[in-house]
Amino acid sequence: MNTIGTILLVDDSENDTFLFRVASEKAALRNPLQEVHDGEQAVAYLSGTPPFHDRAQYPLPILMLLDLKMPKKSGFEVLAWLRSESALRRLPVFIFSASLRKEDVDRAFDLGASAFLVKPSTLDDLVQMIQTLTSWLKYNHFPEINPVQNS
Amino acid sequence: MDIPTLCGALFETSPFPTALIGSAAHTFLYGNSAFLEVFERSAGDLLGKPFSEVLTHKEAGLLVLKEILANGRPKLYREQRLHKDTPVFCAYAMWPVPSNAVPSGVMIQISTSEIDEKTQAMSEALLLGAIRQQKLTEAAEDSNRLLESEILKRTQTAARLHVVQSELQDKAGQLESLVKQRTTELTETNKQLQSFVYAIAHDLRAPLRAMQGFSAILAFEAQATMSEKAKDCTLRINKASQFMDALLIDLLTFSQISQQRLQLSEIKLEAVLESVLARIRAEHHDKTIDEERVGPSPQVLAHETTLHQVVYNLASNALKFVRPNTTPLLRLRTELRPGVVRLWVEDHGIGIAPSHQSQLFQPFTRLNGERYPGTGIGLAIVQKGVERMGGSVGLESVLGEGSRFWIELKKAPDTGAVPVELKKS
Repeated sequence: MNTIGTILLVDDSENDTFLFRVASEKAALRNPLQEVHDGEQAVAYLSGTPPFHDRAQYPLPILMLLDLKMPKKSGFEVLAWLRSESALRRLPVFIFSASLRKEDVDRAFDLGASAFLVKPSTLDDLVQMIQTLTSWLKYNHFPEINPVQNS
Repeated sequence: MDIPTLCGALFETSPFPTALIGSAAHTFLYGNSAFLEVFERSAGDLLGKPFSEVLTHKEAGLLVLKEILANGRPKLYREQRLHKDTPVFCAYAMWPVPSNAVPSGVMIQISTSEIDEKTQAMSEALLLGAIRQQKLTEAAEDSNRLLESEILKRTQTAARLHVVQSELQDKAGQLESLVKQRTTELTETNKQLQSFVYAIAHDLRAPLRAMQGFSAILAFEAQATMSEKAKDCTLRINKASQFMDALLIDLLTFSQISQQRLQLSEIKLEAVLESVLARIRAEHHDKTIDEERVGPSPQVLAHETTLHQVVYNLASNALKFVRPNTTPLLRLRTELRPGVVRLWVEDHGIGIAPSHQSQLFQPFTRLNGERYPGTGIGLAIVQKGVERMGGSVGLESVLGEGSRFWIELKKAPDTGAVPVELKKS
């Protein structure tokens, strides 16, 4: 049960993150949401590089919702980096993308994604999806993740 | 009489033409009366003259004379001559007149025999035979010459043919490499097009999500303060953006099905039908539907996700184009035919007029416009998908009564599946 862990949204579309927040409210998702808008920022957030070193303001997430197509660093690159980082390797990552390509799904799981969710077209469907997410958060047992400090 | 005189008289009176030829210059030394008579010459004509004057075949006769004079042995020489217009055979018995070591002359005694009819006939036959043989030989030689020239012509033609053939091979080789090149280019272009289509569709869907989402929020949030007209407008925006999204998804599906390599394998048709029905039931959970499942449950050679898409589109259509005030029917009927399985998706909907049936599978065809939902691409996807799986599609329909769409797929072989890969079309 994790209604207090932070969920990190990584998406370059502010429309999509806004809609996610609205839908989360409707779906009664209690977990605090943080968002970053490109792959580099995602790496910085997870690494605790300034300004993200302040973990009071920017807590380490228990789940990352990761878009694929982003400037600077793509979702795949972030995922590949994450799975090579010894400390953060265990972080559950749900790809949250508009892509319908089979190759993308395969590649995501090759790189260690925990799930592949396709962005729904309607707000109602998004609400339903987030409702499922809340159920998952209720039943999933989360691994221990030590913040990036000394290796 | 003494012996020499007697012999001389004997020779003189002998009926056989007899002559004596001297070794020196082959001169005629003596001829008896019979000789002179046969050769129709007088003694004065012949005495002292060379014997070759008498001979018909000079060279042969002289050779024999020389031979006898050289080796001192007798010889019999034969020839044919005319005697008073009658052909006769002459046999010349010739023997050397002895002298010490070298003969001084040659005695010749001639006996003749008339050529009888039989011999004459044989002789004529031989002659004719020889003439005919000569003619045949000439004809054969002519024929040979013709054949040779024909062979020469043919050889030349063959040589020319060979040259042309090798040119053709070169051209074929060039053509083949050109085709390969063009195919590579085309494949590359297709790939690029596919990426392009995908990128566009992907990027277009993002603002659509925003339009749909925000108009939904607007409709929800402002329902207290909005006028009915304003709410209606908001909902229309919402619907339109949803529709465009559906269109883009269908276009992407259609594009993918056209381009992808499809690996075919043995598919349990029943499993696919079950999953389609489950999806349909979930979508139409608020409606009553007459579901029917008829026929055997075979295995087919297909691509699972494509098959699912195809059957789903057909089943979805069956429940889309319904007649008002009737319970919609969805019947899935399977038929076994030689080597293939035919799946019928049947409904009691509005049906399709025969004149429209041919354009039905074209993309963007919506026969009923906006009165019924749909992007107009569903059947194009069905047709393309079935084609890529090596099957066929068709329909029977009566306007106002219903439609029966069918797809035919290859029956899976009974012994273990052999995956078949279809290249891009």
